[in-house]
Amino acid sequence: MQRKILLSFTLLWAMLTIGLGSAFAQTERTVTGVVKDDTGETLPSATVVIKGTTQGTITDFDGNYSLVVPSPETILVYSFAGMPSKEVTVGNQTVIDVTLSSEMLEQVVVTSFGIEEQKRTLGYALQTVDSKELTNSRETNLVNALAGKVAGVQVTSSGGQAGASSRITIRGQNSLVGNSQPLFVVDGIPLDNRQTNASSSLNDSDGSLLFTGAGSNRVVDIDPSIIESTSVLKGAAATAIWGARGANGVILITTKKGKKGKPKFNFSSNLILNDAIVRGYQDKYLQGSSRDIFLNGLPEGEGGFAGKGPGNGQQQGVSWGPSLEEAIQNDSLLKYVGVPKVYDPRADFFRTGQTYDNVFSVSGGFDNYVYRVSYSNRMEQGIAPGNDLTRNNLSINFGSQSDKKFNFQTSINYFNTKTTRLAEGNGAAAYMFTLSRWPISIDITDYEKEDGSQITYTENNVNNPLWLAKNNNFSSNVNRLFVNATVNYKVNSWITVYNRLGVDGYQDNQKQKTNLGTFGRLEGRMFDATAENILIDNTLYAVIQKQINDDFEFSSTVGHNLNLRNFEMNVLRGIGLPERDNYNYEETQVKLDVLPTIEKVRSTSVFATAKMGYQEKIYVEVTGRNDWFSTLEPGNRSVFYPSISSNTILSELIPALPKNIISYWGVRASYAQAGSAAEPYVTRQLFNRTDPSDATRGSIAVAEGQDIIGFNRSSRAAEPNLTHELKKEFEVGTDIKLFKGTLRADFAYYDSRVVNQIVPAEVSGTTGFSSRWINGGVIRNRGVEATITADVFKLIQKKFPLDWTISLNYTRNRFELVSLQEGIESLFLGGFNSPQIRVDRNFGYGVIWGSRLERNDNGELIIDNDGRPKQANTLGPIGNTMPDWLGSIRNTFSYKGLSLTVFFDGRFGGDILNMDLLYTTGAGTALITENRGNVVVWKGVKEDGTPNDIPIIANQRYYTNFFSQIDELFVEDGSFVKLREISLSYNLPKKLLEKLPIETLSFTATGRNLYISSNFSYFDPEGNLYGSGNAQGFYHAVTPGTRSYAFGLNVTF
Amino acid sequence: MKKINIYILSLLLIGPFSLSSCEKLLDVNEDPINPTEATEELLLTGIQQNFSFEVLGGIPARMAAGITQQTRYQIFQSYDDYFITENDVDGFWNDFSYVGVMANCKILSEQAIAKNKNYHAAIAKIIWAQNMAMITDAFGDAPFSQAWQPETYPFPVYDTQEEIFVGIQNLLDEAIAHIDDTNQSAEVPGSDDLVYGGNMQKWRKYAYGLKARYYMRLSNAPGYNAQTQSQLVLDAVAQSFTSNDDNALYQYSSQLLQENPWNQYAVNDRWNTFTVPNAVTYKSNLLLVNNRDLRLALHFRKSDPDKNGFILQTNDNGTVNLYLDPAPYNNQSLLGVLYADSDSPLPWLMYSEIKFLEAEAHHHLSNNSARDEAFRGALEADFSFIRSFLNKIALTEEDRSALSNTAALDEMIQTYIATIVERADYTTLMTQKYIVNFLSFESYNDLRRTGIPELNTPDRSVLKDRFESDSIALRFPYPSSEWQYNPRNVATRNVPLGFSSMLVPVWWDSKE
Repeated sequence: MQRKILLSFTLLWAMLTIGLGSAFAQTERTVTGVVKDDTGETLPSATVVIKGTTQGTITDFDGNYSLVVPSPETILVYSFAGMPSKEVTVGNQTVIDVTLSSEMLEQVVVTSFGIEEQKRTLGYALQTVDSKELTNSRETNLVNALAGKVAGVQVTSSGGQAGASSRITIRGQNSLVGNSQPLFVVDGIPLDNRQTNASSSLNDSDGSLLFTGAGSNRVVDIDPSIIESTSVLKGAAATAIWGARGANGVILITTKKGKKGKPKFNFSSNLILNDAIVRGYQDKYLQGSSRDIFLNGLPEGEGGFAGKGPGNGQQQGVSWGPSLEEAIQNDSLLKYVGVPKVYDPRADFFRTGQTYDNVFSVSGGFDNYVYRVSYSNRMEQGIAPGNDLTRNNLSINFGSQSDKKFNFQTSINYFNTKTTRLAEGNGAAAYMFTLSRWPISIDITDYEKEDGSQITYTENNVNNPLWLAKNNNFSSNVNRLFVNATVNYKVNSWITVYNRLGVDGYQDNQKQKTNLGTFGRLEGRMFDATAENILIDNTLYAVIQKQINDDFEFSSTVGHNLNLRNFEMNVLRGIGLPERDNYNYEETQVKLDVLPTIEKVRSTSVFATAKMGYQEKIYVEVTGRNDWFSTLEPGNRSVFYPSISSNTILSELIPALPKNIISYWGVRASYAQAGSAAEPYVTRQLFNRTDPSDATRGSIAVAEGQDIIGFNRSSRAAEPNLTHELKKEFEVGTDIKLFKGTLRADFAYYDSRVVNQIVPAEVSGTTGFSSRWINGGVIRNRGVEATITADVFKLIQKKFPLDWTISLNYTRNRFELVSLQEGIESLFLGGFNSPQIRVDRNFGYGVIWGSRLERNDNGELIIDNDGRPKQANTLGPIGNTMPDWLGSIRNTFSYKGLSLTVFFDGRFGGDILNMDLLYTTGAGTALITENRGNVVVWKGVKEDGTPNDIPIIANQRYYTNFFSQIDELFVEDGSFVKLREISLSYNLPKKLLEKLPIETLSFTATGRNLYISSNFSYFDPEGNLYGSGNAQGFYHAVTPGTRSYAFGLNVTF
Repeated sequence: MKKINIYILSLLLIGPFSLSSCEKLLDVNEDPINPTEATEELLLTGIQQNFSFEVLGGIPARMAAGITQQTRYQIFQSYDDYFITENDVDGFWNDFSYVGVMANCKILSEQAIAKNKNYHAAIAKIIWAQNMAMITDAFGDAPFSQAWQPETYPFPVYDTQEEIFVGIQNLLDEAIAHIDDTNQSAEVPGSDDLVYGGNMQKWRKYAYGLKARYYMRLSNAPGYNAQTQSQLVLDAVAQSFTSNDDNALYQYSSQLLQENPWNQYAVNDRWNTFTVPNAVTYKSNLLLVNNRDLRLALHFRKSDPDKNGFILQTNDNGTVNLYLDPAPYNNQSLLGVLYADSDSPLPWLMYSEIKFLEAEAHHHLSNNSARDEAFRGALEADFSFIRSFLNKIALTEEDRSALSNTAALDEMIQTYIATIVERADYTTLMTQKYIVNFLSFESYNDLRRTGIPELNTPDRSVLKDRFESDSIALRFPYPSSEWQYNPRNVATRNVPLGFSSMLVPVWWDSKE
């Protein structure tokens, strides 16, 4: 059936295109007219150019022009400095008078497939970010550069390591456990943004993100400097034409292209300095004792200065010793040791990160061709020693720009990204896990014996973070080719056929180095892994744009898409190094037989859009797309997604509206369906090789060459009848421009439901499966987005030399888990047995679940006879990681060549599970433990119901045996306001440059995160062990955020 | 016109090609790595690997050892304080037992029976029975008759513990019948059976051993009596193990990542070394008689390998006696070489336990001499087993020379056994079984069933702290996955969620 439809579709299309292609004739004629601005003044020296050519003319002193045009289909482009240009199709007209407006009334935006459209014709929300806003942030990761800049978009950075991944979601969480991140599209080709981490194919403790941390998300390969503009397509109506892959929104990136003219050379150079944000540690108390041994290495009475802890083994090399003041009153200590030295281990560990970023580009054009070549190099040293990133981007763009029927555009981008990162997370080999608990009385810099082995300060063998940084890391070397070739054929003045072929291929070579003598992995380990990802995407489409008559305009796109993705990962895993620093796989003691991961995913689609405009007052667009997915069984492969959207321009429709106040007012509404398909291999029941492991860290692995291999059925039930997820979204919005466009606002409200969620739902294990793939559950996201921009001084006085633009973004999303499969109460997202992050039927998405304090019906704590709050009998919800709302304010001041940007970004609400605080209160390094010895009276009621008045001393026993046992006490408010960016740039006046062969020269100084306001113990709550994964708000031994200072130079000649 | 056609043709080239071969193009959803079926041999190996590492040597055993005070966790509150949450037990119930082992036992037995590979089916059912018994012993009532049928019963109801034990005995009877079935495929278990290498007569004895164990389990259950159960025990024991040669042991290896689970968990530093033998409770129970219990040196690891562990003492009459020096076996000791070296075997079922069952049965039937004989047999079996591990102890020169005196060693063991057997009251019998079953889940079952040995309430007991109860944990809390994914059925059991559940005894332990 579907083949029939396809066939007839193809035939129809072919006939249409060929038929129309031969149907036109050429007629030359002369067009005259006047060009005015919106105040009615004529514009001298405005240019009138025939689109796609260099032919044209300039208006005279009175704004008059005259031009010979080849045919009625000719499009004329009118432009005047400082004003957006305007395009008019000649048609039967011989006199064309044009009004150009100085305000941003006629914003042209890039929509799907790289088509430029006037924003006023769109019935859905779309927000753009210009290249300067991206590059000025000096972020390595494009995702981070988008933070706070688009309403409806949430960006969460996973920590301060160079190359750390970042998560981006648009309009909330669309999938319960699947991917909720938007599709990145570069010049019409989807760009892979997966978080490749070879560890995931391992079956041992290094195979869990909990113990190693996440790697990079692959958008990190792209240098933001090659980006010309970014359009963020938020709702389903905007992305419906992208089918399944656009269901979470689309980030549409257009790269810089060459412009006709002489070659222009541009060079920009930046230096960025990063400092770790470290706060939340006590600096008064020294290390305690462990068992009977005193940890300054001396026995009691001979310089051992720690008091014995209560009970056996209470003081385990952690900071529960005496204070420095107390210690120096100990005669025997002074006699044998002198005054103990005190250090700042955190400060001693971190370094000032340095980044050098250089970009060189040349662009220009000759005859009918344009070109642009750019090369950029970024070298980044992270704040943690041993962490670095080097990125090289070479981009070559070449294309034709002519009035000929045939044009092409190609780009070849080569990216190379090398990162070396340190393990993060729980466990002996994660540096932050031990650094956060490092006592102030131990010199962290004294870590290495002469043979390179480790010096430890405790019998419990805590790894020294500096030794770890030197001896252990995960590295990745990505070579990536992103190639795009588009040809288009102009069938006639209103039909153009395009074929766009794109290939995104990368090879990621990852290595683990864990040296001999690493506690927890004494024997040393390595892996050498290769991940290969190839994506081929081809879209054949026709764009039809036709002015039907004076009242109606029509445009349409019809096309076909083919998408092929192959992913393969092979891992060589060796345990037991032959000697220190020798990571040769062949020489390792045990070579594990790690199975490769192979994923093949394909889809094919047809799509069509039709947009009708009436008198530039009302626009209506309908779209439809049919996808066929390889990951579903034949009967369920086909899915159709429709959308309808409209924009009504009230300011045109209602003449009574005062034009001098309301320059533009559009009201839009849309309804769309989008959806997504399953992961590969979930429709057939699989058997896996048996990998016994015990949920802590022990495991039995099958070594290479060993014949004892067992199999068991996968614990996840396949679902042969699985069908696609379906998202239905309704959106209304309004875009209003007041006072000649100096005050602009856009509001959107959306309400989306995703039904038939494809979920690996947890089920009762007694069914024989731990989870099963289902189509179940309905989630709903509702939200409001607002952007308001004001050109403050333009509003007051047009000719005032100081420009001040203020833009506000507001994002609020409400997530609701409407239903889950019958009998299912919650789904696991990440974390430990307890605490964990989950989705819960009653408590929503991103609920933190763990041990908590007991409360009575009034919500008061119940205090026991010792003065301690009682722990509740059961685990329960103790927080939610989803923020209430996000907001940002960007101020740009410019005066002549000087420009100042002040950008505040805030997240309000949303909890963080601070696992570090749990461990550091146990260890006595957390700032809150500085009150040790003090009396605490908990607010609550005693068991007899009277208000509590029983004091309890906050000592080690209190912290380790009570406080650090209650997960609830480590849930912190993740709200923050950051001065995310303050940037001052200066463009040298042209006059000064006249004598030099330099066109522009500018200097920029940028500060990032110079101010943070938060209640988070460690100050900067942006950190997450799971990187860009679904479990957010899991702060656990990740690299802290940074403050940075950047200095840049940009020159064009 | 011609030019146009060429362009259009080239543009359309890729499109129609992919459209016409659409279905074929999309047929790539077959995982090239993970198959959609597995042979009986591979399944059997997989089941045994999982059952041994994750269940018998995994979390339930660790929890049991904590509750019975055989082990202690040195720092925070843990199992020895009954600090066991509904999340902690989730892996045991869900991933390891119902899914990891028993679902595969069901697949294997069905697949094997269809091919007349009855021996494979027999082993599957034996392991299935043993795992199910651990589930019901730990949790009480549990899904059984409706379990492992996801399509028919997505929310399986709970069977009573009494029904489950009937089911377990049935599974074992079926297994024995499979072994005795002559209609047997030529494809029999061999190297895929990691326990007995395909020796089906040993599996037959093993099945009877389990039958004996589960008959005895109900000695004090409501509606049952010790005498009747004891007779059933004796009948089963008669067909079970006859010597240490029948011991079911899963051999681990000193090769990296092939180590014994206790070694990985508590000794080799891969996890941590905070779980140690309980020097207070366990050691004082061990050292009942004059520093002469050899097992101390094998259950505990010397805290200081340079200290002597043995003393050879010459008496006035010139005879030589061997003693243990308990000093190096203290609260710094890690788990001993018998159970927790990298290449220590993990016991699945031991001859010594069969003899203890026999002795206890005779005790209930008041056959005192038969009891004593079986008791002696049990201890001799145990000591003869552990003697082969003596060479693994960190021995000083002095130790080595002391132990080289075989006569003194024999004398030490024999005298010890004699002294113990001489006062063979029920408490002594069951205390010895508690020692012999060190780190075995059976110790926890016996402790609840008999109340022996008597244990002091730990300082940090959660049950004392929260509910002012001196009780030990009488069961494991039902796991969070049941409260989340099978809530209606788990709620019918009248066992609360949370720590207080541990005050509710399981059925066989509920007789007043």
